[in-house]
Amino acid sequence: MRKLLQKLAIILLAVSCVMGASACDGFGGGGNGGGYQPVDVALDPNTEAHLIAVVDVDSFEKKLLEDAAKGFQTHFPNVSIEVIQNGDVISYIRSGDQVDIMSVIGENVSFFASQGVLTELDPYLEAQEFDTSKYFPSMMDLGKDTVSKKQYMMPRDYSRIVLFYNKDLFDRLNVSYPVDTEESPWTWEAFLAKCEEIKTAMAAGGADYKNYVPVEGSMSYDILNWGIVSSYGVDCLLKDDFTLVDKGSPTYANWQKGMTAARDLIKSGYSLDSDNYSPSHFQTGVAAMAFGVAPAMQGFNLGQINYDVISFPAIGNTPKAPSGTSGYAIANGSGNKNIAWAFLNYLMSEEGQTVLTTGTGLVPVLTALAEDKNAAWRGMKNGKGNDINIDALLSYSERDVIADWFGNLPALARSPYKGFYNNFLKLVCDGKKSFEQGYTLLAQNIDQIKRDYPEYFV
Amino acid sequence: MTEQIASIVAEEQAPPAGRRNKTQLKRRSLLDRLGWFAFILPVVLGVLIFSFYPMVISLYYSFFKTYTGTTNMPSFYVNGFLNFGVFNYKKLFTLDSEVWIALRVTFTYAIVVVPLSLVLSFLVALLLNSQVKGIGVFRVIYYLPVIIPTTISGLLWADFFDARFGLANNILASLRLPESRFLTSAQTALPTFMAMQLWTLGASMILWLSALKNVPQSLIESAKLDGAGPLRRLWKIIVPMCTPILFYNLITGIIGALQLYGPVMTLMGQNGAGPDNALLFYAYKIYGTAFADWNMGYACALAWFLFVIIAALTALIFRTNKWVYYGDGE
Amino acid sequence: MEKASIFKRIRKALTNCRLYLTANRARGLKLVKKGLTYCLLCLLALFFLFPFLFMFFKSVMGDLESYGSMGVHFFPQEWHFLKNYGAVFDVEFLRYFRNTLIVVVCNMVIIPLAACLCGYGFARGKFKSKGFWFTVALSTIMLPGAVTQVPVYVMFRRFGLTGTLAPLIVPGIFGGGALNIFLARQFVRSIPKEMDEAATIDGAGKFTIFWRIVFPLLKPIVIYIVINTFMSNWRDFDSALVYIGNTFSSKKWQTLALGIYYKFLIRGTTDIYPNVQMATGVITVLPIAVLFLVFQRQLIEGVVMTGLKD
Repeated sequence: MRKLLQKLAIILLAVSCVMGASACDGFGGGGNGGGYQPVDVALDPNTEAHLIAVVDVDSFEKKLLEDAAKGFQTHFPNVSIEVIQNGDVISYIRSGDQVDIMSVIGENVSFFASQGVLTELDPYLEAQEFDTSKYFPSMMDLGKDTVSKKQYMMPRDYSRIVLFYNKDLFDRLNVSYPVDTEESPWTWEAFLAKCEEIKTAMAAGGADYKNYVPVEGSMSYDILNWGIVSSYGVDCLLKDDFTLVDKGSPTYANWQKGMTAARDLIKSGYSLDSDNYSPSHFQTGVAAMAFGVAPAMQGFNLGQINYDVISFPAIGNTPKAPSGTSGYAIANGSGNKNIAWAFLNYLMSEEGQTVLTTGTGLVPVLTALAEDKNAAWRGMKNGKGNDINIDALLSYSERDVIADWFGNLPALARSPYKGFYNNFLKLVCDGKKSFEQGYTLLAQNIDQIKRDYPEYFV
Repeated sequence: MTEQIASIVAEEQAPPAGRRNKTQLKRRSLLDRLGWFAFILPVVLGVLIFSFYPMVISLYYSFFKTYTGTTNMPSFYVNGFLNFGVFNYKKLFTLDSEVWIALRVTFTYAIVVVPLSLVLSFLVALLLNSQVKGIGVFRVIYYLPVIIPTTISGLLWADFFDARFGLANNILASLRLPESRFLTSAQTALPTFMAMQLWTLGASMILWLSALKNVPQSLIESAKLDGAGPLRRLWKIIVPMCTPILFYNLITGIIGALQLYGPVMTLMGQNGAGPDNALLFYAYKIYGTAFADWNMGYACALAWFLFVIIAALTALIFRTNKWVYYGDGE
Repeated sequence: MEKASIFKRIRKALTNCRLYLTANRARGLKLVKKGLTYCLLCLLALFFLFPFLFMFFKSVMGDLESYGSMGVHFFPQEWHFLKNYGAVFDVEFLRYFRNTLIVVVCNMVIIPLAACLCGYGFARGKFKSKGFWFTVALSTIMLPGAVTQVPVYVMFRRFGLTGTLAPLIVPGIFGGGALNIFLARQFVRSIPKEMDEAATIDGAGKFTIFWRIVFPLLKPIVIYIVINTFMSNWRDFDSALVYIGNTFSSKKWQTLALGIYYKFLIRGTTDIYPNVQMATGVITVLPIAVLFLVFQRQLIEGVVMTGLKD
């Protein structure tokens, strides 16, 4: 009996020790917020600060921002900016480390804003008397939260999904290059015809081209998919009460047409489904064409591909071109917001934009610089050092459409919805479920979120 | 004089040096016992802190709907809605279809791989037990796959089994066999993974080897003299003497198989669950729920469910362990 | 008379023949058996070695050739040995290497000590709850890691230790695993108690006995535990993944297995060519392979000696 009691005593002692230790609140959440920092856009050039900027894992991103930081240092010599690469910014912020500037992809702006990790930029824009009309409007809109319309991110370049094609491979397959002229505009039909040409040529080419693909592009990648689907009529699938639109509605019909177009691309064997898709096919020369954005050219150049570029194929009467870029935002937990804003302002200035776009393959978001025929950024060459059709990167900017498929969904609900939405895209585009089945599943998923997590919709 | 007498009397009345009286015996014994206890203090503390406490707390967490692990304890109310209840268990049993997919995948894997690897590694161990020259080199070679870090092995096999550019399809093609979609097709993904795991059967093979070496040579010799053929010797003598190792291997094999997720993650990289969730292992789902979705409560509920299953299985095996032959064990 | 002797001689010759044949048949069989064994051994060896060879050959191929876009080969057509292997040793790799080394060395020192301490306590201890605690310690083998994973993570987070190497080292202090303790106990049992008793009479305390007398005799099992610990910590991925992850402050503490995972398996547009990946793989595997080759006798015999009888 005594032994049993002894054992119990020891167990209880240990447990209470650990629980007692747990009562000490040893760690904080996402940074200390740095307290209230009044907006000050007229900073002393000799201000000292050390900023941490977090960018995506691509090694190109780090060099880009570091070069820009060097340019910034000519104005603020005592400010040092350290660039860190990290794939999961939110966890990283949650771990409590210092972040001042972060690169955010356009589609994530609303989500990040909902998590409270971004600083509102409108006060800074006002104080700086920032003229947003000098920039491509679609990109500036991208930096806003789709619900509150507040600006959280400053876009760094003008980026839209365009189509790259491998000239050498086209030559080897004896297929003519895609063209976009008045007589034969570059429509979706023309694109499909070109794919068929390539596919036939590859099949005839025998074993050499066995594992080659006509076009590299993930149809279930939401921004690409949105570009295709929205060409059939721009409407969010969600109604105001956060259920899906009714099956008989025109929105439903448009969506079905759009998703069918995306799926047919895979079904016809022009592109690969998500199980087989790999983002390196064009770079390694096994894809004849590729949907991509301008920054991807860095990778293509590494692979020494002799490519050229043409605009996104025009679908139907109201063609859309999916556009989206990343930009930089100020972290909410930063203690150096004014300096961080000064850096962002620099990045958006003509000098900053020149630094960001010269020799990097990016297109400036400052309209004047983009349209300047003699600007330095136009000197970009492809992997074999040949010229590319720069204008195709800029053309048809009126067609731009950005990521607004969330509609007015409350912030907290976006994370689960994003998962379900991407799953829906994947299932339907890969052909594993019909559009109707996928749609029903998505509707069920949304109902499930509303039922299980009513606190998200408060 | 009196003092001298007193001291002699005192001496005679005092207990002899060798014997101690009862209280002294008890007291020393307690100190002595505590002293011995101090030796195992590390493992006792370890069990309490890293096994017992987490188990209890894990059960506690599993009753909370939203808990991201960034605060000390989950909160009872979120945005005015109650956070405490059997929500996670309801979700586990009815709402989440992935749970049953995960269980099916994991159990299929366990049922196929565990017996297969036991038998195969036993056979290989038998082979390695032969007394040919240079057997040591072969032993090393067979054990090498086990010591590769999981990530390297994942890289290796992902590249080898790549459906488009992998060597495996190339070999199949050159042998005029049909190509396979290996890890990109739902039907072939799991068998490919199972075949891959069988490459590392060196681990249990080493234990079999030690067990085989423990079979007393005298028994085998006497069996030979009695005219027993090799198969008979195998079945009647060697296998029964190895049953303790079989028992150990079986238990660790099943527990290991049911908790597997590292090799899948390193193999599939970003496509963790494989095509159509064909490689969605249960432990991988737990990891994803806990550290990708940051939904600790649900992850704990899933983990406890797994624990109950494993405990039941282990209890079953223990109860039916009559077939294990203990030599001069404890 | 002559016929009989001829018969006798023939019969003797035949008997001799038969004896010779039987004896040689046995020897012949033995040779065949030996040959067959070697055949099987070599075949299986090829099966086990093949991926290593594949890895090595791929690591010396050129970029595009290793990706396979121009046809998949087993034998490389160009040898880029120095270039690829040189590319492996960048700053990140050395950092991963250093971190892994820290974890491994710390554990190699702590765990054998802790395991032997506990093993000695369980083997020689004289307290009544000994059996109870031993069963409890052993039963932790059967505890699925997933159940304790989340609370232990939260626990480490409270002390701010996630994202560092501490969670990989601290559990070692507390016994280092039930299996090691079990083996240590078995081994201590095989040491005769007379030595203990002699030392006690000479006035030595329990710890002195352990440290001076028993521990030095535990050398074989200590070697076994040390090598085992090295190998399991060098390869460890699961716990590194959970505790270290991929945030900024934790990136500098990533171990080799984890760093390689994030570098090559979660990809951007660089590091996509398999040749450098394979080169990294070869370099990672080499230390353990060498260690195992050198110490294989101790490892295998270590298990043999303690005889895992339940």
